[in-house]
Amino acid sequence: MNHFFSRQRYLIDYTLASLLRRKGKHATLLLIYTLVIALLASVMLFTEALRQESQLLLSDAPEIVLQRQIAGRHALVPVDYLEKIGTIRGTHQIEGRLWGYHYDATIKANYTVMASEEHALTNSEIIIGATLARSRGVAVGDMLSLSAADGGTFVFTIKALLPSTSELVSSDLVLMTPHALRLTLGIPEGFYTDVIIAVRNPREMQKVAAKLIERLPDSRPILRDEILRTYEAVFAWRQGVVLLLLVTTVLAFIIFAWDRASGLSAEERREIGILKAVGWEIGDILQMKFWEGTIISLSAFLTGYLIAYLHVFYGNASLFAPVLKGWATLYPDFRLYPVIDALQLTTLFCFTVIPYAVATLVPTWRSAITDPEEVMR
Amino acid sequence: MRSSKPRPSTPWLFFLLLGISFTLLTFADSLRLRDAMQADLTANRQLVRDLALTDLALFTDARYVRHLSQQDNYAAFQDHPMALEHFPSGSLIMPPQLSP
Amino acid sequence: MITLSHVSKIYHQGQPNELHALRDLNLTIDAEGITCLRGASGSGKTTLLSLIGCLSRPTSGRIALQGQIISSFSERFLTDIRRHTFGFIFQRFNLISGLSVIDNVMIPAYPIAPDHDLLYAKATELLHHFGLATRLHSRVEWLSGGESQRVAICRALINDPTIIIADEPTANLDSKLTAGFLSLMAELAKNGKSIILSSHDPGIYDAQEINHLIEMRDGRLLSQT
Repeated sequence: MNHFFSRQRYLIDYTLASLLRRKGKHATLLLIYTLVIALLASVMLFTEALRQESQLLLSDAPEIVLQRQIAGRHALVPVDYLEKIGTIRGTHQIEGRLWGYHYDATIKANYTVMASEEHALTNSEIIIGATLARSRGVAVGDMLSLSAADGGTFVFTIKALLPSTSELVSSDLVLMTPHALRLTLGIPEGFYTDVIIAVRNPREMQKVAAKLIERLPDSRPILRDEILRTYEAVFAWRQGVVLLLLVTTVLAFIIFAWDRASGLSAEERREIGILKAVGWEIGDILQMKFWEGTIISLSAFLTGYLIAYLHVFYGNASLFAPVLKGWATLYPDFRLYPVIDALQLTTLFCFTVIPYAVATLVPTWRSAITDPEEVMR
Repeated sequence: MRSSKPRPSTPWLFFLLLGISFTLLTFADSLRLRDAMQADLTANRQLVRDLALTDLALFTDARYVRHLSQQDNYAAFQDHPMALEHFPSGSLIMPPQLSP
Repeated sequence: MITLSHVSKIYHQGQPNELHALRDLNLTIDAEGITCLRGASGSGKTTLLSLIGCLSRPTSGRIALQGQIISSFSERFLTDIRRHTFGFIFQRFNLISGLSVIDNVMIPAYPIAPDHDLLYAKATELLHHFGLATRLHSRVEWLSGGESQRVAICRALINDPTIIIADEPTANLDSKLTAGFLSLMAELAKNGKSIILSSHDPGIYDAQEINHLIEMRDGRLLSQT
C-alpha cells in the first residue's frame, strides 16, 4: 500500500513537471474550466437554496385560495360567495382578501397593494416593503402619494416598513386599510379580490375543492399543495437550465476528447515511447495520464465550487441578480437560505471531472500499446 | 548531502487537502448560516401567515410572474412555440403542468 | 550470457512493405566487457539490440537471458526485466524535453518508487560523477551534445542495470567526444557492467576498449570474435 502511494506520488511529480512545461496553456485551461464549474455550481446552489426557502416559507400559505374567473381571467368575488362557501362542510375561517396591483409611474414599478387589518392603520397610513422604500427613497414618517382609481391622488403617511429581512416575500408590498384600498384600486364595496379558506381536515382538501367548483362553477380553487408544487417546478425548471448547461459542457468535452484522440502530437507519442523504453509499463503511463486529467479537473472542481459557494452565500449571488431581475424595477435584497445537496454536488462532480479525465486517458491508450522499440528508429 | 528540491507534488497535494477540507467545511458553514437565519425565517413565515401571502416577490416585472401560483390559466407557448418571452423572467418559469 | 537461436524478425508481415530485419540468427553473447555490433545501416543491428533489450519480440526463434527464455514472456514480465536488467542509451539520446536534467535521470525509477531522498541523492551523485554537477536543474534542451549523452548515460544507470545497451551512441558526437564516451564505457565495464553497443564508426569498433566484435550483414551473422 505504501508502495502504491509513493508510486502515485512519483507519477504526480512527473505529471506536474510535464504540465508546467506549457504553463500558459494549462493555466488558461484551468482558469476556463474553473469558471465553467463556478458558474454551474453557482446556479445549482442558488436554485437549491431558493427551492428550499420557497418550500419552507410557503408551507404557511393559505390552504385554499378561491378565485373567480370571468372571460378566462381573474375577476372580483362578490360577498355572497363567502356565505355559499360557508355552507360547504369542512370549511372554516373563510375570509375575503383585498389586494391588487398599482403601477407607480414615478419609478415605473408595479406595487402589490394589500389590505391589512392587523396593523391598526388609519385610512391615511401605509406600511411598505423595504425594497420599495429603497427604490422610492422614502423612510418612516415620509409621505407617499398614490394615484387613485377615480383620477385623484391620495397622500399616505408611511407608518412603518416591513423588516428588510423579509424582502423575499414583501419587497413590493403596500399595506393599507381595506377602505383606503378600495378607493385606491377601485374595488367596489361588496367585492373581494379572492377568498381564502381554511379546511378543518387537511386530508379533505381535494374533496372541498371539488365541492367548491360544483357549488360555484365560475370559481377556481388554488390549493396550497399546488402553490408548493408550482415553486418546486419553477426551480426544477431552473435546474433544467443547469442540466442544459451541463449537457453543453459535456458536449464540449466530447469535442475536446475527440480532438485529442485524433491528434496526440508526435512529440507526445515520442515521449510515451521513451517512457516505455526506459522501463515504464502501459499501466504506469495510463495512470500518469489519468493524473494529468485528474489534476486539472479536480483542481478546477474544488476551486470552482468554493468560488460558487462564496459567490452565492456570501456575495448574494450578485452575478445572477441581473438575470433574475429581468425588467423588474424592484428587486428584493435577500440572504439565501444555504442548503447544499450532497447528491447534486456529486452529480456535478461526475459530469465535470470524469469526462475530462477520460478524455485525456483514451487517446493515450492507443499509443501506449505500441512497441517501445519505435523510439530507436 | 544536499537536501532535494521540493517535489512538485508537495504543493499540489497540500492544495488538494486544503480544497477538500474547505469543501467539507462549506457543509458545516451552511449549517451555521442556516442557524443564524432561523429567527428571520420564523418571522417571515409569520408574515406569510398574517398577510396570507401566496408567492415569493422575486419578479415584479409582470403580474403573472409576481404571483406565479395565482396567475390565469394559460397555454405554455401562447402564440408560437418559438415565440420569445416578452419579460426575461418569463423564460425562467416552467410552463404549467397538466394535472395527473 | 545471452543466447539467440534461430531468431527471425519480420516487420509489417504480410504487407507490401514487409521487411526481413533478421534471418535465422544464431548467436551467443558472452556479455562480459564491451561487445560491439558492427555493420552497415540496415544490417539489423538496431533490431538485434531491441530484441536483446526486450523492447520487442522476435517473429520466431528463442532468446535466453541468463538461462531464462525471455521471448515467451508476457509484456509485463518483459517490462520488469527491462527495468531491472537493462539500461538504454539511444542514438538521438531521447531525453524528455522541457524537464530538468535531474528529472530526466530519475524517470526510469518512478514506477519502482524508491525513497525519494535516496533516489535524488543517487541521481545527484551520478550527475556529479559524469561532470554535470552544475547542470542539475537545467532543462535538457539547453545542453550540448556531449552533455546530453552523459545525461542519457546517467539515466541508463539509475536503476543499476547489469547490461547497458547503446545503439549508435556516438553517431552525433565528434571524435574527441567519441573517445571520451569509450573511456566512460570502459570504466563501467571495469566496474562489472556488461555493455552491448552498435556502431559503424571505425573509431569505435577498432578501438582497443572493445572486447568482443560481432559483424552483421543483411540480417545475418558474418563473424564473431
